Amino acid sequence: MKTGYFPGCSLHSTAKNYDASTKAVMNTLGVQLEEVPDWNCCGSTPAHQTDHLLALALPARNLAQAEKAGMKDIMAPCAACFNHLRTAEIECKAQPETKQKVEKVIEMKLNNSVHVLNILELLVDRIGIDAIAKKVKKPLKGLKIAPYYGCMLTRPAKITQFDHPTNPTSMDQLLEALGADVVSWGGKTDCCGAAHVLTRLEVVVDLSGRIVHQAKDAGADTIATACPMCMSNLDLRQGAVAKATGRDTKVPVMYLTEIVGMALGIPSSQLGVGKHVVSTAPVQAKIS
Amino acid sequence: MKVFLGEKHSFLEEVEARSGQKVQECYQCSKCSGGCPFSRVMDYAPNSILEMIVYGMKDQLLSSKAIQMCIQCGTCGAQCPAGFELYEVMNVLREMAKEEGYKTNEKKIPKMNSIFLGEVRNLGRMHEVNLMVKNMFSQGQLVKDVATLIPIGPPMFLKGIMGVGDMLSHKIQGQAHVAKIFENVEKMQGGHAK
Repeated sequence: MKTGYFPGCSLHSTAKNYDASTKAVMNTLGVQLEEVPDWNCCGSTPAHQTDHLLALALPARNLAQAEKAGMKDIMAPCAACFNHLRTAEIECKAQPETKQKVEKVIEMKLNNSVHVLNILELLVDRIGIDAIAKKVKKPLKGLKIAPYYGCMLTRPAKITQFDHPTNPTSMDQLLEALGADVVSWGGKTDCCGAAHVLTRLEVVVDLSGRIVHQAKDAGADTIATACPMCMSNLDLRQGAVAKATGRDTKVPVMYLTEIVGMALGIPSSQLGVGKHVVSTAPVQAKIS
Repeated sequence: MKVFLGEKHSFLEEVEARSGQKVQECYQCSKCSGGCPFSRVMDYAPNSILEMIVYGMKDQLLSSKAIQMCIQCGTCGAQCPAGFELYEVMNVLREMAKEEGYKTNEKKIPKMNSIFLGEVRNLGRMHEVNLMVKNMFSQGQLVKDVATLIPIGPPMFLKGIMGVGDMLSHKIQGQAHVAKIFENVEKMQGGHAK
């Protein structure tokens, strides 16, 4: 299987291990990732908060670049990149006048021939849970995982078309097939505060604190995420959460692909496991 | 209840037409505000915003902090019994505020957004270190911001989340193309997309 690949800006800086683990997992599962040529930033929240046309045009240039390279699908591991690319795809497909306007702005043609995927759609819908389960070398027996989906993968439903906007289960099913104990918890689609970390840190500490506390209360050994922004808020801010709430959780937060990769027997060094502020050593000890 | 619109209520009509959301059909159950992760720090809660649109309170709304805080997490819409997508309304309010030159009471978020987009315009991609540093220097609370970095900066380097290479920024080949996209949007929107 072959698919286009849109790493996004975070995967080239603070989320390098998400990039590395995604590539390693896909390689093991026989999926060839082909990077979108000379991709640009999707514009993220600042673009959509500033101007709707800009918020469509920045991702649309990437769609056009992918079309030019003959790609049919592009997979974006970052939940926010996925959300913004998918928005451009859907709005250009549904509204011919929007597409025309976007084409004028990006000075490129769009054929509406590229489909944007998130990492769970690729893993669960395209590759398939059974096919992945067959390749498990180190079952995640006894590992309690809190699957964390956040907002950008799941909502708005008309854009993401995820399995459920507030109670999704695709990651739960995948982790269970790898042998893990998936904990039942209420935080799976709560918002971590996202980019407000740069302008309203106290709000992010509050929201992320509630999420890590809920995961801890549910008995989770680790939180699995598919978003670099969520990773940064949940992992980096646990110290601030402890200071603000008087409760030190130290719940390791890991990218979904790090966890899948470990179950597939890929060496930790190749996955970039451990590049987190909260130590992942207890999780690694349970798997090996 | 049927609301009859006079001339001064054209604000409601414009918001409904541009957002595709029937604001008047909101029955004020307030679930949106209960679910919104940011309603506690907004000057007007999401359900109040819908009511204010109906009452034509345009000046208060278009200069409010609340409309700048929505990040389209979609929690409100997923809970709305009337099937609203409130973020569509928030997007329209922000655009109208910009088009009509309203000064916002929220200073930090638009500043951060313009630094972020400036990076994208100049490089083609967002550079996390540049964004963090420039944002810190522009928000007028340097001491506080540096203090919050102290507990996370060193571990980020020690754990390999960041390296020296991440300090340098690089332009993509098509940077000029990306800059042109910004320029074209500005032209088309009459200079509002800044």
